[in-house]
Amino acid sequence: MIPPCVAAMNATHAVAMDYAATGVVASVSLTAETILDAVAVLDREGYLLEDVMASDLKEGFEIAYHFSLFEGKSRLVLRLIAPHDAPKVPTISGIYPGADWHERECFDFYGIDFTAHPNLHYLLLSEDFEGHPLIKAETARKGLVDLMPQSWLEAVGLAKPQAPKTATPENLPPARPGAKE
Amino acid sequence: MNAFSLLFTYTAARLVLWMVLMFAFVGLNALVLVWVERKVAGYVQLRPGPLHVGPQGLLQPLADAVKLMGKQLLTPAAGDKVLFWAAPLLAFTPVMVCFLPMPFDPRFNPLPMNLGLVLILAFSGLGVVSLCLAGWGSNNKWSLLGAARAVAQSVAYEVPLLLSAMAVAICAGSLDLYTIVGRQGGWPWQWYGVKNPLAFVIFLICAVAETNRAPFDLPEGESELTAGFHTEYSGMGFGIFFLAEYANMVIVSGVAAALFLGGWQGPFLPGVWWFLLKIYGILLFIIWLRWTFPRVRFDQLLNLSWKWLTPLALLDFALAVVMAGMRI
Amino acid sequence: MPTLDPIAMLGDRSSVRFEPGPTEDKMILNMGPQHPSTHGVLRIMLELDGEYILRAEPILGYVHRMHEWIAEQKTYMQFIPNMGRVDYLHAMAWNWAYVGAVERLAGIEVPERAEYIRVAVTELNRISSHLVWWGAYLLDLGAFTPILYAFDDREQILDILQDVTGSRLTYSYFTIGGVYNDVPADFRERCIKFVSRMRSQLPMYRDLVTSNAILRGRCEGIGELTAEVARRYGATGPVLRGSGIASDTRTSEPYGVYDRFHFRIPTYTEGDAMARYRVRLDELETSCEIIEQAVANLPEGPIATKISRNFKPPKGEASMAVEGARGKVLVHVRSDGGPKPYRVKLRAPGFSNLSLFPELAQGTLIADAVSILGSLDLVIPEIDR
Repeated sequence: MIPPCVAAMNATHAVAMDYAATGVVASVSLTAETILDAVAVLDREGYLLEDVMASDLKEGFEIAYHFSLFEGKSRLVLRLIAPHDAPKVPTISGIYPGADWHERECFDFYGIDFTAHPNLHYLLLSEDFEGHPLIKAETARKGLVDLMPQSWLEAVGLAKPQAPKTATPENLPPARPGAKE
Repeated sequence: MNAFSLLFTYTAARLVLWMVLMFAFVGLNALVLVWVERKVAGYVQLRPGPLHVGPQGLLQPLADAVKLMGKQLLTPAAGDKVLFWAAPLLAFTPVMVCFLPMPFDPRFNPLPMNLGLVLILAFSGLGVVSLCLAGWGSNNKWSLLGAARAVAQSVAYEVPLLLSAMAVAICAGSLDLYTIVGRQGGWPWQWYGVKNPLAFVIFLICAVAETNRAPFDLPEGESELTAGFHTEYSGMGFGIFFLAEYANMVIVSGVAAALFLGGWQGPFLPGVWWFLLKIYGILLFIIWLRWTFPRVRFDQLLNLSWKWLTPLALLDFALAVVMAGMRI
Repeated sequence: MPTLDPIAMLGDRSSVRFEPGPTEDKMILNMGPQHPSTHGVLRIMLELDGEYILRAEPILGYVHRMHEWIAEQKTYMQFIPNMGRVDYLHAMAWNWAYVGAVERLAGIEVPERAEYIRVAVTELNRISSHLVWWGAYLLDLGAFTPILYAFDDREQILDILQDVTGSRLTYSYFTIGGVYNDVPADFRERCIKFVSRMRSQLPMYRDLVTSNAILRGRCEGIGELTAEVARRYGATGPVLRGSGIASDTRTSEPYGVYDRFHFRIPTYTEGDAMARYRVRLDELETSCEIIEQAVANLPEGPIATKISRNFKPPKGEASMAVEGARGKVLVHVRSDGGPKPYRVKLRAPGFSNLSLFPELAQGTLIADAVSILGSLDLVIPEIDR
């Protein structure tokens, strides 16, 4: 169930997720321009910042912000994609100071440039380290269609909704899960 | 015995004999105190303490001494070598002087003087200078913090210490420890500790603070300052500080026993045994304190001294003057 | 749409980089990485005026082992032992968070007996973690004795858990679908005996230690944290509950069979080090209650759902939040349908709790900084991963 405050965010997609299968109640897709306002909305609602994580996908670096309330199953994930060649995302540490270190960790592992961050240098890796270790090789990268559950892909339009399955030979499922047509 | 008492008449011979005895006393005491401290610490902490080196761990202090003597003496490269090594010497030397007026036994007074108490209090104040030199000469910011703390702490606790000692001196009418002990009796109600308990309590607290023992061990503050002013000392350098700390504890306990617990006075046993018994009673108390309480914070330490102990000691001094006037 | 200006919102931030070089009346002092009170290999750069801290910056990474990269190289089952090494004091919580995330992803149901065993061992582990914290905190404050009493109690727990799991500290007891080993026949009576022993020790700890005037002087009013600041920094666990917010993952989003248990969430409103201290001591009692209920109701049955040798969860992502001794442990797992995870993110509660330190320590004395660090209950390997 998508919480009502999501309506105030300028979200690209807002998808309700199955808590028992994913641990989140809703996934909100945003862009680098809309993330700050969305986070401000959550701050007004009294959400706790849990973490900021990044993953390396074919489409770019996907940065996921996890928020939750103090009571109840209320985990939200805000996600945005930053392109590989220019991964610039505004910092949210002005609203949530706890994001300061989480964003530095994303910088450590992926080289994401958080604009206006007060202290963007290596946190966990040593000062003279070069490179960003968790960036995957081109051949190893997967896209959203390979990584997101089918229900989310259908909701955002990256996959065609499948007809209800009946056990006839003509309706055999595809050979590999999530394979593109 | 005749030749002995003949020798006794020569002051120089008396002094030499006394110094030899005192060196032996301090050395033996250090060994015994190390063992007592470790055993008490052990039993307070639900464990037996040293057990294997000798019967009941009695040879453990010897093993420790041998270990310390065998270690390499390191000097910090950028530190001041002279000050660095002057510090342990300065820590130990005043200790020997302080034993001169200590009233072990009425029959044996090596150097009769009428200012024994003042001599002890003056020379025990020199110990702080050695802490300062240690902290500065180590070229280590943590040691420097330890030294700075030591100075402030020492200055703060000198005042109530002196005042409470003076309270007793006023009552006894003398600054000579032998006389003060002589004015007391063998039974507890004849001791100044019972007639003036406030002075006793203040003196004990200040004694613990002056010897840098927990809960006032901030200059050494193990968990905050690594090892405070003696961080950079290894082997025998550390050993000498250690020895000086225990010797200081004995001196301060000796003064407390003489001023407040009646010194050598007591039934049945010859005086010197009572004196030693009382010294060890106070020492056990000081050791017990260390393993029971957490450490006070620095400003709380100074607050305690300036805002509580000093006014109380002044009040007590006034009371003592009244008591002396009434010939109690 | 008015956009917010991040630069204007930053204000006067205390986590700004130190400039190299000496200054006139301030001293820069390194606390750590080798220091008796930083609880692991943590370095904090302090800018001091005498003994007052003007600025503090923690410098991390001395125990960084890149667990998140290791996760991408190993299969799901192979990564479980790593979780025991992240926070070795409450290894069961990290085990549970990771294994729970994978079970959510793959839709695996855990048998009842395993769920009850999981609760019992996690709460036992929580008690042993809090005992270590208590002893070490008092050691930092200069009391040398309580740590030995705490470790004496802890030995009983370690003996119980050794017979259950085979390890004393870094447990890898959980498996995807249940637990690895069944509990021995005397588990129930040993737990009951331990709980009654723990309950008899707690009053002594309260009288001798918690009520001690010197300890109260070192903890009361130190490191005051408001609920608002705690929320903004993402603080969780006893740090948050010491500031008045009664939020515990075991009751807010119950996992396993926690919704069948009755227990209190201790909360104090002062927000200082003493409040956090009291929360943790009360949690010892809470954990005792939960253990009693768990071993009383332990059902018979299998201890794990079998999974295939070549375990491949379907594609997707899952998060699992578990209440660890230090706060909310969160593990995110992303799968591409293969035998190895695509991305594993470990969210350590200590990471967010430590980021509070520069703000809490400003203007305090070094001795207070030591007290604040201890009250945050940090385990550096969890922060560095």
